[in-house]
Amino acid sequence: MSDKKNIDKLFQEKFKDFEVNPPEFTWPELKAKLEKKKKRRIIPFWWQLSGVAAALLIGFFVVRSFQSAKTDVPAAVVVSDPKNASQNPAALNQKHTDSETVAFAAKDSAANANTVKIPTPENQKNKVVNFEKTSENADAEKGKPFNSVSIRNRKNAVARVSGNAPSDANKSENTNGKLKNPALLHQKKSGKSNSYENQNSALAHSEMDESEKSSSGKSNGRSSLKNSESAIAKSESDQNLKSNSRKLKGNSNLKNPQNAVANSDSNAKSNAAKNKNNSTLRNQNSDITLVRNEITKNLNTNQALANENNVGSKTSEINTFSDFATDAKQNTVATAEETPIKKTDSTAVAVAPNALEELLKEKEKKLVAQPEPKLNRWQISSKVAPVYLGSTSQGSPIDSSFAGNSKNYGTNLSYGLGVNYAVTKKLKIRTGVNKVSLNYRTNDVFINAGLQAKSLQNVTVRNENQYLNLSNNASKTNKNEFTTDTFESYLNQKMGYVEVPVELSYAVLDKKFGIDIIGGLSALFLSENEIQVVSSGFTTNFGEANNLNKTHFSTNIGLGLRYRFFKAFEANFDPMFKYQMDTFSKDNGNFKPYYFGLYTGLSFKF
Amino acid sequence: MSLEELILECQKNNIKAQEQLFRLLSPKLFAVCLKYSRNYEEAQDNLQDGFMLIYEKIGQFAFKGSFEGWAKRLMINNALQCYRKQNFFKLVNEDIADEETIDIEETSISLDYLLEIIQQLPDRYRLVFNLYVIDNYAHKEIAEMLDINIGTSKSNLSRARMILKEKIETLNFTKLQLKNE
Repeated sequence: MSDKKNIDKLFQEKFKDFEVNPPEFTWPELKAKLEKKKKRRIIPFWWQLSGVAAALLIGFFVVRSFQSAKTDVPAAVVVSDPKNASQNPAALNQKHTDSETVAFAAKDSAANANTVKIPTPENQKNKVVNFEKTSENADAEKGKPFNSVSIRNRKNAVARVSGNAPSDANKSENTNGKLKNPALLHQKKSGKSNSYENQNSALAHSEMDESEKSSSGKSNGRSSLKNSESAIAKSESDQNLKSNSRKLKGNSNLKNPQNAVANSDSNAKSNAAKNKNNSTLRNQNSDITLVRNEITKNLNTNQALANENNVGSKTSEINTFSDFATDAKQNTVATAEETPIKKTDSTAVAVAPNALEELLKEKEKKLVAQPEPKLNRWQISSKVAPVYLGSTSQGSPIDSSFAGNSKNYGTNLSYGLGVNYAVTKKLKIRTGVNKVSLNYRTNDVFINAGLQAKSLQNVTVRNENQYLNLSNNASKTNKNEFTTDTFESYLNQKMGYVEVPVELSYAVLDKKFGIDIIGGLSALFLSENEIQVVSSGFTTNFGEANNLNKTHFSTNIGLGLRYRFFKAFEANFDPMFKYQMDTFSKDNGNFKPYYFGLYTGLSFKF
Repeated sequence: MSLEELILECQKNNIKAQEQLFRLLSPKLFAVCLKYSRNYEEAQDNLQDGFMLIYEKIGQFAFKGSFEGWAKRLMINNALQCYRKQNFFKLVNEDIADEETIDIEETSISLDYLLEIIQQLPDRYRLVFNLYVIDNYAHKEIAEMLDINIGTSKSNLSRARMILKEKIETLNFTKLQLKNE
């Protein structure tokens, strides 16, 4: 039974297929560890914060500039609108300026937009202006980071529309009828109507994507609807440019604020399946979907009445919709008669939004009610700090021969202004402008005047000092027979910078007393560069360093301690460590500067 | 899902793939941990840490050679790592002993018993024995891995063999006695 066997072989054979299942709890434990690790990764290192901060800041400005560029576009579109062209050119010009002024008014104060009176000799023009304003508002809305603004705009839209309705109603009934009918007919009858709608919605989608992207990462589900609104406004104007068709213009105006619903109206009739294609926008808001379904139902009942003529059916259709929203389900021909009056003022823009706007408003109010009042995103702060220069290594950027000399690092002052922007309640982007002075002394430098001054590696010496000989060794300078007396002195290198920090801060504690962790980058622009020779008897401006970069960077890390006096006022104390990188263009002589600043100041939130 | 797909998913930090990979490899790798650890509990810890390391480094796996071999190497390295941390390898080098083959009487020895006596070996003997005998590393590699010299590795191996042999023989002897009684 037993035979002699090599112990190695015994173990090898036995352990060849050795497998043991670990206990059951191993995976859950491991999973917990993995998840914990993932979470830990979310808090970035301080030096990574800078990248994020910079990206956010750049993104913010890009979005802003993009937005402002965009708001100009619709104004131009209105001018090129063939509808205007069909009228006399004088009116066209007038209209253009009108629309522009209104546009700007809307942009300046969104809240007052509904009070803007539009001097309109004819409704058609009014409509153009209204449309213009809507698109303006929509665009402005997109640009604003606050949800509250969008609500206000939306309110405006409704208020404006309904406010205009009675005043213009009688006057504009006919013109609108004219304008609208062809549009509706076109939409209904021509085979192209669907393609137009698809195109329109496609445009709206692409626009929506774009605006969602540009909304500085702060999009929520609701805002996509909002965006879609603006997108439609935009797509509409694009459409105008391209198609040069008055009908389309009228048509799209009709659909402007709630294009989706308008689409669904026509689609519901022609092709029920197509509703679903267009419903991407609507899916984001269940309210609208609901309304749409109801509309479809109503349409069926209404259609018999409406079939008399196309125009009639269309208006009743829209009427059905508005009626449903306001008055549940009392669809009669009588209401159909009322609707045109309503519609006329803002050419159908009014009709569609009335119902939906209310639903949307309610929904948005609910959603935005909480975050709106809380955050004062902007904060301005003053900063004063003593700054302490230091070097992580012994060395001299002036001349390698001074590397071994002792250095005294000066204490200087930094002051400036800071601007903070709260991305979320806890996360802030900090930037600003600081003036920083730094200096240090290189001790035990001996000077004398000689015929042949030995030049220092990294100093551009002023003309009057070119015969000053500097050395770190008294005896060496004395060897020159033409030398004069030698003085013991020190070199004082002064560097002044304008600092622009870009930092992120994360609130660890956010009560009356708060603690932030701050990390980021600073760009330092050289503003002062001087090397002095200071001896017991005199101080002279010896020259300037020629190896200091005009611009360099520092990586910053620090703590922000703050105490809130009132709601908006805080006292700040931020000890910051700033490690300078690339300070010297060449030959830093193993001098690696950093500075430490104790920034104190007051800040004001708004 | 093929192993390759599984690895790719793990590289994306897909937790489900990570679980699947764990289920797939843990029996083999836990066996490795048991050999290299002092006891069952330590093996469990090593297994978890080793898997953390695998998930962390899986992005570096270049699909060259066997993944199992790669994972096993990581697991072994991880097991060694905890001894490195203890500064364990900075012990005085030992004399070189001749590499000898040791033969034993083989009776039916259970795997559990073999594992037990491996775990009971002094740490470095255990590691060297495992690396050399069971996992086929050369003395040169072992010396590098454990930061010792080759002579020490050989000497440790020889001592480990001796200890194991004694233990097996004692077992055989007691078995024999029991049988006789």
